Amino acid sequence: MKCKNFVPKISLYIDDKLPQNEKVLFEEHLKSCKECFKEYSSLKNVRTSLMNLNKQKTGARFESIIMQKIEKKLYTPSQASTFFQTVKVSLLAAVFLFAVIAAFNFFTPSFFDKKSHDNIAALNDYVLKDTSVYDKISSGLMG
Amino acid sequence: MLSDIQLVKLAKEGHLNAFESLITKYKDKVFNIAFSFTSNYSESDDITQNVFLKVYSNLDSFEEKSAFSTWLYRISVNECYNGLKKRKKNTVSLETEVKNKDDISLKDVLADPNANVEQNSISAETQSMIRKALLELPEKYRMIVTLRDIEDISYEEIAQIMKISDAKVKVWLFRARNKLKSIIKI
Ligand SMILES: [Zn+2]
Repeated sequence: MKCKNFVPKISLYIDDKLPQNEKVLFEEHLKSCKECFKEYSSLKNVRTSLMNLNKQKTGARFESIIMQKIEKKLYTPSQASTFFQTVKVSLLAAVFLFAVIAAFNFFTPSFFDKKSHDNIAALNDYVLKDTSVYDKISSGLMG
Repeated sequence: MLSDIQLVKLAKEGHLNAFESLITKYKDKVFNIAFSFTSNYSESDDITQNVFLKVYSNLDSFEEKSAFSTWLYRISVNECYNGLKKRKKNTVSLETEVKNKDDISLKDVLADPNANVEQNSISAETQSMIRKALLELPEKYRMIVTLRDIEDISYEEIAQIMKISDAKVKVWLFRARNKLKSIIKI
């Protein structure tokens, strides 16, 4: 087998993830190919270096900081879900409102173009009286 | 000692000391993941705090379909990515970050008097070189070598944590290590 077939397997070999038959072939190749052996050593070194990095730790008071925040009721399961529920509902409401306003702005200019200025008051009346316009606009948008 | 499942069950029932035990068990793991990703103590502290507060807030929604640790690490990965987005939004801090990349060794890797660091065999100089190289990796590659090579998590669990296929785990890991190799020039 050629080297280019072996190179992508180096990483798998390092993690012992090659099937037995491929592993045997790979090891045979490593013995005979200096290039691939060099590649293998380098990648192995990368893993070893990462494994040997100092482990970083939290401060000694970490638990008490978290528990204090929890005990102050800043974070509780129910409050959190209620909070997210509220955010969700407000967002939906905002999006709906925006859609209605956008639709209204989108449709009204054609009215203004066709009709004379005097009819604006009548148009407003019409819109205010006939709330089904809102429904038509929004249902047109939604579906 | 109680298992994670038992502790989670107790915590769900409102036993705060059970939740505290989970924190004690996993805080350093989460912190170390965050630090490998950010090379920054205060950010890692923020991320780790957020992770446990989110875990607590969402405990009821944890359905135990996966191990608790997998779920916890999944939240940790998201928190690391979120932290990065926040930093990117703030151009000033990004500039400072780039400008101060060389200071990482001094400020964060070598000399934090408060840090409780487990000393290992490689030199401080090598440590800082590797941490700097990690920061140069694209975030998904940085995360995958963090989980595999620093935390020694299995391919299968990494796939679940990062929500990617097993094939992708293999490919990303190979690319990440290769890229790191060329940056470090081992
Ligand atoms: Zn070869």
